[in-house]
Amino acid sequence: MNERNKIWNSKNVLVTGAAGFLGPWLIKELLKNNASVIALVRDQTPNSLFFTDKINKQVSVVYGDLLNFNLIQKILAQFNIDSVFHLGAQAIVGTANRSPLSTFKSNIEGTWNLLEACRLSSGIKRIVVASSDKAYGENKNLPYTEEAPLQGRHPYDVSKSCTDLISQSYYHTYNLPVCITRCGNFFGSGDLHFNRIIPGTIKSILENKRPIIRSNGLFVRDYIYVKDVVDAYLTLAENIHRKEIVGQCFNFSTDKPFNVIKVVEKITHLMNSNLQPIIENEVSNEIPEQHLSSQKAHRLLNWNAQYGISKGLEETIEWYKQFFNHENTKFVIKKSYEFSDNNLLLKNITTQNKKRESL
Amino acid sequence: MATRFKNWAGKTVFITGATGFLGSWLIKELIKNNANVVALVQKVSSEFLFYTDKLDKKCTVIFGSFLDFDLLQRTINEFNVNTVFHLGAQTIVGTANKSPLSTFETNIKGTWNILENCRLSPWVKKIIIASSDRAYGEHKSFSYTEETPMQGRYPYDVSKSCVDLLSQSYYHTYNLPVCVTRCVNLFGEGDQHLNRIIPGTITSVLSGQQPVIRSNGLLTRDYMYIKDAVNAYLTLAENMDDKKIIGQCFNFSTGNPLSVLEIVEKILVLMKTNIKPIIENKASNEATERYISSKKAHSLLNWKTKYKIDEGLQKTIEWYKSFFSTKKPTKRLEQRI
Repeated sequence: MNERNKIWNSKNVLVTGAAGFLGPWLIKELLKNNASVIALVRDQTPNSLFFTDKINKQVSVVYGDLLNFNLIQKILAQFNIDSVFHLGAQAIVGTANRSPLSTFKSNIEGTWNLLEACRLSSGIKRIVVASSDKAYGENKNLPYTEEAPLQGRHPYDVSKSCTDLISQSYYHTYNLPVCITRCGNFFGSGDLHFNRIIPGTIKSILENKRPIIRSNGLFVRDYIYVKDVVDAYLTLAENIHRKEIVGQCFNFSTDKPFNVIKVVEKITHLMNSNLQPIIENEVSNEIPEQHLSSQKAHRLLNWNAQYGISKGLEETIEWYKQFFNHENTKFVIKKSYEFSDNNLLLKNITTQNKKRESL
Repeated sequence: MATRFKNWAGKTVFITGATGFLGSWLIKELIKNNANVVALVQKVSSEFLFYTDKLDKKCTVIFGSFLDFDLLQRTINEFNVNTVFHLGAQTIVGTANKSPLSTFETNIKGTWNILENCRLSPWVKKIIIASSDRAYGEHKSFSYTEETPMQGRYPYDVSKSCVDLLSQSYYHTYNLPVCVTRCVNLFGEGDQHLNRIIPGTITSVLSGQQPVIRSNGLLTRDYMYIKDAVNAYLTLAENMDDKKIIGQCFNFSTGNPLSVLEIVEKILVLMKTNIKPIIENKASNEATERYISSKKAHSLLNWKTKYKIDEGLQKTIEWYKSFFSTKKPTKRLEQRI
């Protein structure tokens, strides 16, 4: 039995957002270490790894919503929960712009419901809350350290700023054993949001089409492989009993930011393709450069990204190759394209509000 | 006065937290300037200024909560609201610690309900959201400008940090005409929260008791007279025709912070009493000094406080005297700090 195994062996662990992108990966690792996992699932999305990899057969699944406070209280009590990973959130920026209220409810209200239920319950030893690099909003000082102010300016970003601040307050006020993660963009097997740059590019190349970059391609971001993220979450939870760790926020990144063009080049190179991206250069109000320093995680948690970008991309590309050979794929792709016009919609909303002045 | 009248006459103004301390004062001033006030009222007590001053007879009263999204939608639409002052909140720090969930709901969810409803109703031209100097949380540097990050660490403070950030995001994302106010502690006639330091001290003296200071009394805070706050809110709204002002946050303060001991002593002197405070000297983890700068409001809005603290306190003392002349304050009062 290794250290990780010893810590998680037969612990009751609640994972919210279990059928999301990170959830299944985290649960796999927890199961490998003999944890008993309770998965909170809101929507049954058949293409999530949670179902396709049959994780749902190995855990206790509770169907329900984070907005149901009584349900969360009941889960904590009934399953005698020891550790909580709070991953459940509305994670799509475009959806947040179109539907801020439902995003605030899922992300902010969902978080305070969970934290309050934990406060009122006894015996919870570890709570890891997923914030995001987006919680910082825009900041001229790069890379972002954990001291940077949280000042998201758009619905998704601000929902994470609030999530983050509320989580910290539960530590400061009630000594709740909370830690907060702030990661860059995840990538890896199972992500079916093809409007994201990595899955989108891989898909284009597999279809022998030129990948499309909607921006000017110069936005600089962090990308981190999902297995490195899982290791980050577990490492953090395992260290939460330490005085210098509990209540803290941690950035997790590879410390190697890339611009969009570089990411696309990396993928085309790894896929042995000559396809050149189409750079649409659409005007956008996105933050030009945003990346994290994970010095604090190196120093205090001795955490490092084991896989890194290249190894992660290789595994990811393999998975998508298999995925697109599969029969059911056509349906999936059609569904995910419905989500790709987010920027356009935001523009319409902004125009609507400009009309305000002429009314 | 004349320009203020022109600004408000005939405008429909929707106010949440209408029966609260600031709400009632703001409504008085709006009515004076012929605005058409629609007041959202949840708590009713015959002792509230809103009723003692018969404001309920001079405006449209909507009974309900801003947590009721449909009610807000109906109200904003039916009355063709032009300006919104969102003042309604759970404002007591102790209550927030005891009941964080209801505080988050009232303060944060309440704000996003207001913002979203205004987004969906393009005829709303001006939205003023009450944040607080507490939204900043605590910082190493003792001077707070509008650039200071929002990082409240306790339930009330963090609820205001979130309110503030959410309001700004509606401006940045949807061009919603929002402004945010961050006021220091307010005092004046009609504040029913007798556990706050100023009303608490006055009531103690009126009932012949020694005021109790729980801390060492060295904590400095800025106290602003209510009429200066009303003027701040109105001045801000009046300036929102200017695009430079929309989407901005403003501190409003006197710029003269006083320690708890100083403010208590000021009251004792003004009340001409020999009563001395009891200083319990209980440990407090709050930063002792903070200075909220309202330079931005001075330069962009040309706003300044008009009342000296003694003048405000004198009026306040008179009010509590007459308030308690008909009945004795009974309960032993707890100080806020």
